[in-house]
Amino acid sequence: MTAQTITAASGAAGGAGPGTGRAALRRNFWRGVWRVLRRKPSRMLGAVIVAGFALMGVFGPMFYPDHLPRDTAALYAPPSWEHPFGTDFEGTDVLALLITGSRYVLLTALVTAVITVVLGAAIGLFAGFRRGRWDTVLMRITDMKLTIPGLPLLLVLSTVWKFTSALEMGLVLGLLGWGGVARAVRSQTLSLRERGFIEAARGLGLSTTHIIGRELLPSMAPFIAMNMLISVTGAVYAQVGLFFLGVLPFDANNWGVMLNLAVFGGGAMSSPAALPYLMAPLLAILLLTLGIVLVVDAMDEIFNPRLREE
Amino acid sequence: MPTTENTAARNAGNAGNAGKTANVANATKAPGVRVDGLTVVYRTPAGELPAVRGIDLELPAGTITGVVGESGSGKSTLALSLLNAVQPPGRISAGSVEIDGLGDVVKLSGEDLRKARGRHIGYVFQAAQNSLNPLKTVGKQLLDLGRSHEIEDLRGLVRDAKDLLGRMGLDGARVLDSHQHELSGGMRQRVGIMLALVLNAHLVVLDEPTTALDMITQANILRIVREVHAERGLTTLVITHDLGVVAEVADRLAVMYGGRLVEQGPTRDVLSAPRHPYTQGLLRAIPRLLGDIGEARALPGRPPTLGTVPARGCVFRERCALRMDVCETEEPPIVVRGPSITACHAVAAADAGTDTGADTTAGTATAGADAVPDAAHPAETADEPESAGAVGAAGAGEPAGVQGTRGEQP
Amino acid sequence: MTVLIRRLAGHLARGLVMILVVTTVSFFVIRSVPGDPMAAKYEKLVEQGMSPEAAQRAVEVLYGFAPSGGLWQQYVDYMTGLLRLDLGQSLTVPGVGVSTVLFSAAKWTILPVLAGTLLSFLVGVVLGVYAAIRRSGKLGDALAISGSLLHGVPQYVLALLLMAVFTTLIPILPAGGTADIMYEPGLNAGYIGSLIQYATLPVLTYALASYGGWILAMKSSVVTVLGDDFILAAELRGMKRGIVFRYIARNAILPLFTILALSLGMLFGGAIFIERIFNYPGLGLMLIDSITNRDYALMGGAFLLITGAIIVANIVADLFYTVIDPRVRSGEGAP
Repeated sequence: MTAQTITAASGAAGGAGPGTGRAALRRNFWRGVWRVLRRKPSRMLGAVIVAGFALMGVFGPMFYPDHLPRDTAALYAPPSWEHPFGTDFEGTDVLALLITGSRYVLLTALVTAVITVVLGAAIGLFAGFRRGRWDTVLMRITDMKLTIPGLPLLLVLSTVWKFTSALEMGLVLGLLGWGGVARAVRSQTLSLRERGFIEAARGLGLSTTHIIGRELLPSMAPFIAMNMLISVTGAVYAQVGLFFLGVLPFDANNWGVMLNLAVFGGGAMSSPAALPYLMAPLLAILLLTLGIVLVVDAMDEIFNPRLREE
Repeated sequence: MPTTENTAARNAGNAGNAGKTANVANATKAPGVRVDGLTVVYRTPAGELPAVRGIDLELPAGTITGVVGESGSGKSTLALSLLNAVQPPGRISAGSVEIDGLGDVVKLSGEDLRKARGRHIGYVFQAAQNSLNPLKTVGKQLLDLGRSHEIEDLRGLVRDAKDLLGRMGLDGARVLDSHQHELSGGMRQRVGIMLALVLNAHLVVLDEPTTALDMITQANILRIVREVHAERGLTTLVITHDLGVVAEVADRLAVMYGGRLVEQGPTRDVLSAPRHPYTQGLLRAIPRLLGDIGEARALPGRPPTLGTVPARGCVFRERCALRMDVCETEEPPIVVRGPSITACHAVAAADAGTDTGADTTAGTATAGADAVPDAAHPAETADEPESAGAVGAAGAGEPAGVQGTRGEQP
Repeated sequence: MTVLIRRLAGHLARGLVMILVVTTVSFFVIRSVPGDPMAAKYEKLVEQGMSPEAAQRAVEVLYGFAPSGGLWQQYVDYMTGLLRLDLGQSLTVPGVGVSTVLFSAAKWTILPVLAGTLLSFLVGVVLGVYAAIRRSGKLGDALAISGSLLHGVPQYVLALLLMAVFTTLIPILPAGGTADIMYEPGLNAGYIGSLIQYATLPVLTYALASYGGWILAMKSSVVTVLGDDFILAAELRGMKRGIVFRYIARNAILPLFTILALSLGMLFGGAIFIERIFNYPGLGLMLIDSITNRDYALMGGAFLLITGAIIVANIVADLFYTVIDPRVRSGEGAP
């Protein structure tokens, strides 16, 4: 019930009793979230994983010096208490590499997701709201964007941009990735329109900004939030993959660089001793994916009343 | 519950009706159907809830029976039960559906059941608009149907189909060559009827045959239903929410509410003198073309859903003007009056009031009270020995009718 | 028929515009970057004391051609060359046209990707039907979950895992290349056997990576069709199980054919990671090599081929749908 109330009533509550009404709704909402999480422990696990990665990206690198210590006596050391994932070809602790490398990866993913969602939602809303010529033009552009294959385009672009900072990388990925969200948001807008949502609001004399900000966006917020999480995974894959292919010069460490060095430089494929070095970033990616899939599943249930189990 | 007497009385009434509508030659082909104590439950998170409960209904051979009810009254479930085709999470939990020549359909399964469907029981689908495979022409689907039922002479089948379509005013060859999307709603409905009849099924179930059709097409379809019914000598069950449809085609009418049968009888009798408060409310709710729209009065409240149907007592009591205390706890008694049957405490009480005997066995009590209105149809009464006997027992009958009957009997 | 032609015309026009946009963008992106190997060579020769003219000639001899004129002139030259399918000269393989290099690489991409796509399509569709029919059972559930997981994992993660297992831990398959060099290329059993052995991991990776999408798509399509009225109607008419099953399958698979056509558009560009990991000399590997070598003509050509395939596949998918779905064919329903 809670999520429904939020989306349906947030506009009204905002107008009528901004203070108490909203606060109550929010409390209800969080209670709903808690209930959904508690019902299936796997979802709790998802939330824990995602939170864990976020903490790792923010605070993890602080525990390590800028230049990680090398233990030249232990190249490709097997996993041990000291080195849970062993060491790399220079004797650096793999776990340390993983943690210090996570910041670039996660920050890129965050920037990408924000840009993707903001741009996609804005364009989709605009096209669906205005309809007519704007819609046609914007959707043609979106179609084109969706047609051009992302990875080859990124490879071509990598000759121009060097993606040294995570922000730059996220910006490019975001600029390339908004097509799908725009399309989905547009069709959502159109379907809300079909249900007389917008006409009814117009009939009440509400302004366009009010309709978009208070009526349309709240009802689409869950959908947009899920898209954001999904584009986080997409950004992680794309960006790790790009570094892994080795077309980008790297001066900082991240998961893609680790994979590249493990496979093409470290010979992880020829000696089983180097496997832990390869597996660590792979496991990190899989774990992050799992966490996000579980959280998306939980969100689906929080926001989609039809799926809610009785 | 005085069931045995009631069934007997009902059967008698039905037999009389059948004689009136179906011609003798076809009556031998048309199967009679007896539904007994049919209960269908649906599995829900709150446990198994009955969608249809304790239905006793007879479709006399050669008649058209109409079942009327609001959406959610269980009428479509009842129709599917006739083919033992209740879809999960629903299932038939009790009762039987005896069809002449087939036996108890509820006990059929697997290949026997599949062969009975289509071959013996034709089903015209509720949303006949969408009852065809969109990717195949009607003709190819007809051939699939023929092959499914091991029809040797597929050419003959196509010929029959064209013939049927032609009789319904369609260009058979063209229709068979068309895809679903090339046909209008009315045409699709006729194709649905054709597919239900082309294998010579003699029991036909039409589930909302005219819903979503415009008035003229609706009238056409109903005319076709009547004609085909008479020509082929069918036993027909029409499920609808539209009393007009029933008035148009049905010999007998059964009214469903909340999964129960609340009233049944000859269409004319039920429509002209409804006894159950629900039927009365239903009739009052129909706006007339002539006259004041204000006369149409909607029933207060809403029909119950699976979850809100009361488990005990009368299912209609929440909306009933004649509600009594006993309605809360006791199942409504079956009140038989001639060929009509009503399940209602208030009707039973009213009948008991007019009747001096005030018997607990509703069957005999009401049969006596029946004598007066029934006299209007002497021919029918004459065919009914039980009814006549009852009249004799009550001793207050009409001299002419009673004596006429007695005169023929020895 | 007119519907078909009108659609085709519209698609072709749009496709041409797309190709124009793609080539123009890639042309200018490429020319705007520093680090042209020809220029580098030229400067090197000048530094070594050669006169500018002599250096220019030497470079031309070395690479077989030289871009001349201003940027616009080069653009016009490039576009007119494109009309003759002339994509310019490769720098890494001097003296050979880009199109020739591309086509020789393309076969190493098309065959494994095609095999992988068809394999995953077949398996995914069959298991998808099963998962839909048994969707409340354990096995159906497990199939759907396996689909979601494989669908969510990026291609390179799968490729690396498979490689680690089958070439490092249990070394039973070759780690890279197209065939063992001990066999003479040609139609001999040894070479073909070796080809298949070397292609196993790339094909398997591609199939596993796309299988999840198919099983999920087919499952949801079948579930939708199962709820359609005409299936119940067919059952109520006593149609044989086999016929009802065919009704379900045919209606459910229809939308998947469109996706199949679209995914065949990925034939050229869909295996970049796989080719890099298994060192398989297809278009993807060529694109990466051209980038590391700064061979812009080759890079532009590869990008154009990859994008063009997708544009064509989009058109084919739409027309295909028009042909197989009678509703669209007659110009009524929307695709």
